Amino acid sequence: MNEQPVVQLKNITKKIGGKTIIDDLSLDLYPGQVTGFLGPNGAGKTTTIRMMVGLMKVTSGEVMIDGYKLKDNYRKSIAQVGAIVENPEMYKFMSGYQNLVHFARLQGNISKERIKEVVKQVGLESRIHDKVQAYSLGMRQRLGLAQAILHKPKFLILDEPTNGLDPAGIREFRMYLRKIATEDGVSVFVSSHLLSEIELMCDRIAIIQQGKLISIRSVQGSDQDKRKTFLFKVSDKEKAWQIVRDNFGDIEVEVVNDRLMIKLEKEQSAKVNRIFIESGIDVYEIIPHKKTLEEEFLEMTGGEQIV
Amino acid sequence: MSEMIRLIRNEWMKIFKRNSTFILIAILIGAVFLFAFVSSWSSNQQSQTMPWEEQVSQQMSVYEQQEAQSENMHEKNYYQDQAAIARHRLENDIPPPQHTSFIQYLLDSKSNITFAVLFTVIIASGIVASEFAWGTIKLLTIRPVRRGKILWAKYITTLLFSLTLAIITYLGAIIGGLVFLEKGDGVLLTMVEDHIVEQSVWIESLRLYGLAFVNMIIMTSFAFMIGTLSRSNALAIGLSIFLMFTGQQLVFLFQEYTFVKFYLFTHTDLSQYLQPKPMIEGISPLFSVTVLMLYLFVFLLISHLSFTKRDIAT
Ligand SMILES: Nc1ncnc2c1ncn2[C@@H]1O[C@H](COP(=O)(O)OP(=O)(O)OP(=O)(O)O)[C@@H](O)[C@H]1O
Ligand SMILES: [Mg+2]
Repeated sequence: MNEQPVVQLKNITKKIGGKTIIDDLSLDLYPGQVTGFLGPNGAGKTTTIRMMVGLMKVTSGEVMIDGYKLKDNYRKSIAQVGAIVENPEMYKFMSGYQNLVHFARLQGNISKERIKEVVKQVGLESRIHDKVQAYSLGMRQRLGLAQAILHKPKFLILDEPTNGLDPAGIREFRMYLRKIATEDGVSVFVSSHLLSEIELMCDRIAIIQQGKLISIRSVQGSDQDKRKTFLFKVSDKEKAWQIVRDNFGDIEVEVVNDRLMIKLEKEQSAKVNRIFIESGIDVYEIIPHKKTLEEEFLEMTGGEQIV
Repeated sequence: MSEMIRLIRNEWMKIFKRNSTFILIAILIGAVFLFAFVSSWSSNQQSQTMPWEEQVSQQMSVYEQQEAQSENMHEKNYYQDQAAIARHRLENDIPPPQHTSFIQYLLDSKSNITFAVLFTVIIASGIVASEFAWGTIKLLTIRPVRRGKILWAKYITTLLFSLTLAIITYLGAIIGGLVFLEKGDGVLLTMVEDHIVEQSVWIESLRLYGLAFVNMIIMTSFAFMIGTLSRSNALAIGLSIFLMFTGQQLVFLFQEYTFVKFYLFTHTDLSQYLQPKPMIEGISPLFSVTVLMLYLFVFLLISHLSFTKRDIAT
């Protein structure tokens, strides 16, 4: 990544009442990237986000946004941020539209046209003049997103944003995030409990546990580990197993249901395939088996539960 | 500046999009009209027992007696003026406003301001605290506007709201008076540099309402501070209303001690200087205004520091 990061968290630490809640956390977020923020309940996701938007002060360390120190240049840096922190709480006694007018006035110069455009983007046109009181949770999430993108921020922070959205809504939301990341170069930071969802939505995942960042990885799979697991579906499992044992010695191989699970380097999979065929074993399928994020996560956090 | 106006419009919108605000205003108008109605009703009950000349000459002798017993210049001057005015009435055949008259009613109607203070205190307590209760404080403060400015917009809005309620109270009293009361006899007289002149009821009533408005500003600011500090609507309303009704009693309880001179509620009722004696000895209008300004400054400073420096962790 040769671009400048939009957001830099430099060794941020937060102590509340003598308890260290966030411990020396550093993280860079880049334009055009969707970064997932994953961690068990109480890990410190919301606390980190609060510090990123200046709701809480850092005990030590520095939050930099768009090249400015948040602490010293609050208005310039926060102008580039759109956020939902925890639930998108709105003024229930006002309509969705009035809520947006309210936030537009706080942002500065935002035209009526821009408000209309955003309302359309989040799919709230038909209900925008209803009181928020009458909104469903999913509609409130949409309104929350609308207020966050009103001013076209370079950096979008979303804390548990899909909470309450229906499957179609989640899909739409995911596509929207991808779109603003790729087309507008927005850097998106999403915290979520739903691993599978983060996997679908993000380019990169930062994992936090007990206030410490324990891993930053790309969703494409960890490249550090060159060995991959491949699943072979073959006509004769036992024979195939024996062949692998004979030819590759110490390699990990296991029979899983009707398949053979073999841990190999990439180039070797072709070789294994060739040997099987030469030995008269039919090969029906070869599937590279990616460990699910969940498996990795549980491995990494020592099996701690994620909701 | 235009940013400040946008912020104030926001706060104003948030007050007036709530039904409860209209209920408060409706109750206020209802109370003001009720006061007018009751005034007219009780004035019809009272039959004039004594011609006014007799009343005034009785009062005059009381004033003269008290003038002789006065302990200080302020008190002496007061009774001297009152006695002179009474004499002037008798000599020139100018009756005082009757109890049943519109003039007396309008002057008495300033007590309605208590309702306006009560309702402004409710709004002032909630204007910051409610944002915390609703959770909207987060979306409100993560904007390219300094937190302090948001707070000032809220404070200015609160003052505008209290002014609005004060005006409603005053205009409501006038309208209620025109509807329910007869104009009645009598003229207000006052002493201006040794001359006795006629005083317009409008000027006199505005003066009373104006002094009551000072008290309103202080109570509003107090409630605003408690709401900002505690982030709890209920606590701010409760404490402010409690002090509103008990604060002045404590003046009499503490009158032996010197610190009572610096106690807030010794000074909140500035109309005490229209009386022969202020609540305690040794205070003057200038002193009271200075003390009130100091309190106001401290209230706002505490609110500002609390709002701008503390973490938002709801
Ligand atoms: N104001 C506070 N005072 C004291 N401790 C706090 C405060 N806010 C959060 N904490 C503690 O900090 C830790 C992290 O909380 P945080 O809300 O950041 O977790 P989270 O990762 O967002 O969890 P979740 O997934 O449940 O939303 C928790 O142990 C919590 O108890
Ligand atoms: Mg959280």
